[in-house]
Amino acid sequence: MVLDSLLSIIIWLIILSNLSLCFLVYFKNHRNPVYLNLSLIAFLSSTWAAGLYFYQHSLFLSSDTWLRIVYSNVVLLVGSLFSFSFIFPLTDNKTKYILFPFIFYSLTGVFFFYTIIFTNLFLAAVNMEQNIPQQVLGPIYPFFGAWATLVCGWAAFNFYHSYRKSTGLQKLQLKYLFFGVFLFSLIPIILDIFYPIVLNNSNYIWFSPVSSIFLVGFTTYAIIRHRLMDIRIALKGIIEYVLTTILVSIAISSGTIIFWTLSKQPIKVEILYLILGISFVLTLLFSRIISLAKNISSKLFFQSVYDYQKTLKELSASLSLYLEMPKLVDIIIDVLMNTMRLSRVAVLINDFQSKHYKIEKTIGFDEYNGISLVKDNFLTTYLEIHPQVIVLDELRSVIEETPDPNEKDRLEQLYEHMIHIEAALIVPVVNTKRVISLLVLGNKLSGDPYSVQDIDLLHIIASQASIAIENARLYQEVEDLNQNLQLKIAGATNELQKKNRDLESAYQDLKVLDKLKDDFVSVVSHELRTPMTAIRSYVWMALKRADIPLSEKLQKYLSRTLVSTERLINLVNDMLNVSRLEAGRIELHPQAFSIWNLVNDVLVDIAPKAKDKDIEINVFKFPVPSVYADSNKVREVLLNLISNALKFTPNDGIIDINFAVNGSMIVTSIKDSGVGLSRDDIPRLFQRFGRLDNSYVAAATSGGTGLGLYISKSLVKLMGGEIWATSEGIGTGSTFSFTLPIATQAQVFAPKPEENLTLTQAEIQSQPTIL
Amino acid sequence: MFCAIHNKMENQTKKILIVEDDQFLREFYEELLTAEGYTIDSAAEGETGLQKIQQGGFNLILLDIMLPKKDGLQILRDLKVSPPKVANGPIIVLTNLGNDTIINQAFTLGATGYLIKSALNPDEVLTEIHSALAKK
Repeated sequence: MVLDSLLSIIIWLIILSNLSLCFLVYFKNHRNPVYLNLSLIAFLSSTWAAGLYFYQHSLFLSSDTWLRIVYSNVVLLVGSLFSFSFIFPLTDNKTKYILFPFIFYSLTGVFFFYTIIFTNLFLAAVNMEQNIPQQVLGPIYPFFGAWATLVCGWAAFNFYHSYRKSTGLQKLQLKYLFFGVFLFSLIPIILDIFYPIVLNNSNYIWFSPVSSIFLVGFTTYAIIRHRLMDIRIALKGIIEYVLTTILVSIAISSGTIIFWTLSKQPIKVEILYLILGISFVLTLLFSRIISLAKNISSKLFFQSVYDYQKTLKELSASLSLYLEMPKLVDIIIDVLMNTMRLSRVAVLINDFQSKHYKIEKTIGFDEYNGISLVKDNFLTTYLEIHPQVIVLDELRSVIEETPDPNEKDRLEQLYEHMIHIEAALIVPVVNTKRVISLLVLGNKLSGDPYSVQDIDLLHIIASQASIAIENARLYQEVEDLNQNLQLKIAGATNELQKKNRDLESAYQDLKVLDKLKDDFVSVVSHELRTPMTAIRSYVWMALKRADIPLSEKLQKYLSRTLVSTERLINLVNDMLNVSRLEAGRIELHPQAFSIWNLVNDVLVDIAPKAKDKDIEINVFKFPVPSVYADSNKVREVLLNLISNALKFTPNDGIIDINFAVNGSMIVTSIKDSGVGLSRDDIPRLFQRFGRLDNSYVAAATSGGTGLGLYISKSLVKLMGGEIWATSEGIGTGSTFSFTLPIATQAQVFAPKPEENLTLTQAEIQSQPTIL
Repeated sequence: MFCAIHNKMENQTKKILIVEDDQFLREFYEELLTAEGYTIDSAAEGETGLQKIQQGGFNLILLDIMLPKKDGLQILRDLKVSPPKVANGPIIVLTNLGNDTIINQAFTLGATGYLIKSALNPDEVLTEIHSALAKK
């Protein structure tokens, strides 16, 4: 009876567990076919167990009906296991082979269904013996047994096959599954197939669902958890429990039986079962009971029962969260105070820059007191040599064992100090052999001495703290450097900005000046030249118009006026040119052209003046390649040089114009038979207002400004050439030469820009006129 | 002495417009060219100048750049937008500015030639004007 009750309890536990696992899995993910299938297995296992219970106790329906229901359930359960072995884990290969097994199972399943429900071939009858149903099995049953074994074996094989092929988490999951299937199949095979068929004993069939808890339990654990314990550890845990339970139960029951035997009392089986049940439950709960007792007793006796690992785990976690020194020190002090229940703590940090310790935080110590420990370097040096915790209680014996008398003295002093400030422990925090911090601990609140475990724990805390503190220290250094850098950068930026502003304002000033200069130049250009042009025009008309009679005197005066005006105009023009040249405001429009043509062009303009002085100008015909330069500017240079030649050559003179090729340049030379140049004259020629000593007479009549050569030189240089003058001496004439670059092929064939029509070029394009 | 190169009679059919703000220069050109036999009209500032050009019928226009009310370049721009009713001959720009940019602009806007007033003596001015008229 008791056994029966016990077993019933177990069975119902199984039913409920399976059901809960079914719901757990279903609600975890009911869209996933694997989960669906697993919850189906769990469900069918629970209905199997329930069905068998109802069968055994003949509740609600007849046992016969129940048994048929149960066997149909088994067919389905086997099928669900079978399908699970195909769909877990999901790989492509399996889907191809699913068709044949599916057909096989369907056909055989349906066959068995039919025989179970509609015939007596499977289950012949159910007889009631003493209110306990006994099944009488039909001829088909052994085949069913074989079939069930085959299908379960096939499923197991599938799992094994997948297990071999898988890796990592899946492999572990399949190990659990495999085990589960193995146990699940083994027990029913023994209780439902072997016993009934071979031993003709069907008494235990209703207990076989117990095996389902293995399959369902293992599989659910494997599928639901993401991180599985190694199965050996899981099995180990289970076996420990089971063995302990069995051993304790056996011990207790043996003890009871011996007691009864010795005391000649009858063995009451029911009481035995009761004792077994209680011992079973107690064993299960045993470890829980012990930790409960420990907690109560430690609370009663103030013992600092701390969990080593837990403390350290929390400490490392907290220490790694922060980089700021104050926060870290807070954490260290918290841990020390709380785990060891101390009265006083101080944390001293060694500042390497100032070579002094700084009290980062104290609780319970006077600031002065803590620092007094490290007044000199003794403690630091000593600890660097002996990196141990200094325990006041042990210091006496350390002092006695110290050979060096100096050290002994110092240690004595230290001893006195520690007593004076009520410090019990000094823990060095060391990093790469330097003491970076000291933890000074007072006595425990409980008054107990520090135990070996305490010192060990302190060592570990110290090493963890050393990393954290060093990090904080380095971080602080980096922060300081950073700040420093930022300040410097800000300073430098400010200076740069200031300089920039200065530059900017200087630039603005320059721009204003430049504009003023431009305005000045424009004004001079226009305003000055307008009245000059008027003067010249009217004087010219007065002189040249045939219908105005003039006396000789008037003629002379007006002539001189005209000449002077011309000079003035030329001077203003030249000065404007110079100003523009120096400001770099001359725009060059270079192109390829023939210098020979240009020279002849210029000569046309010059012709009247040459004729006046009867000077012969010869241009040597020379196959000159094109030059690449601004033709207008070259024209100016030629005008200047040829006019000069005319000016300084007396009547009946000769001017020869020659060309030559020199490397990549064309040399144009203007040779005159004029007054010539002395060696002293030559350097001053191309300077501004460089006049020749004996040239005033010529200058007065020809209107030179002294700027002509300077302008010519500047222009030639702008165009990439050189200009120079040579002379054999006074009276032998002079030669002025300049070079211009030869045009490249590309420049020759470049499209010519629209030519600025200068005066004479326009003339060339028109019909020839005779002057 | 200057030579009358072209037949004065021929010249009478030619009309020249002078747009120049400086009175002395303007009257100088008027005298100079009338003596050559040309028919002269003149304007002393930009707006009148523009009006006269737009009326058209001139064989040559001498256009100063620096003018009050409207400068020479603006006149050229306006002419591009609204051309003269009757066509004119070439436009020669007069200036004392030797500024390349301005001269280039003048050409882009339709001027045919330019004279730097202070650079030329009246002879040369006449030559230029004769050739410009003959070019047509």
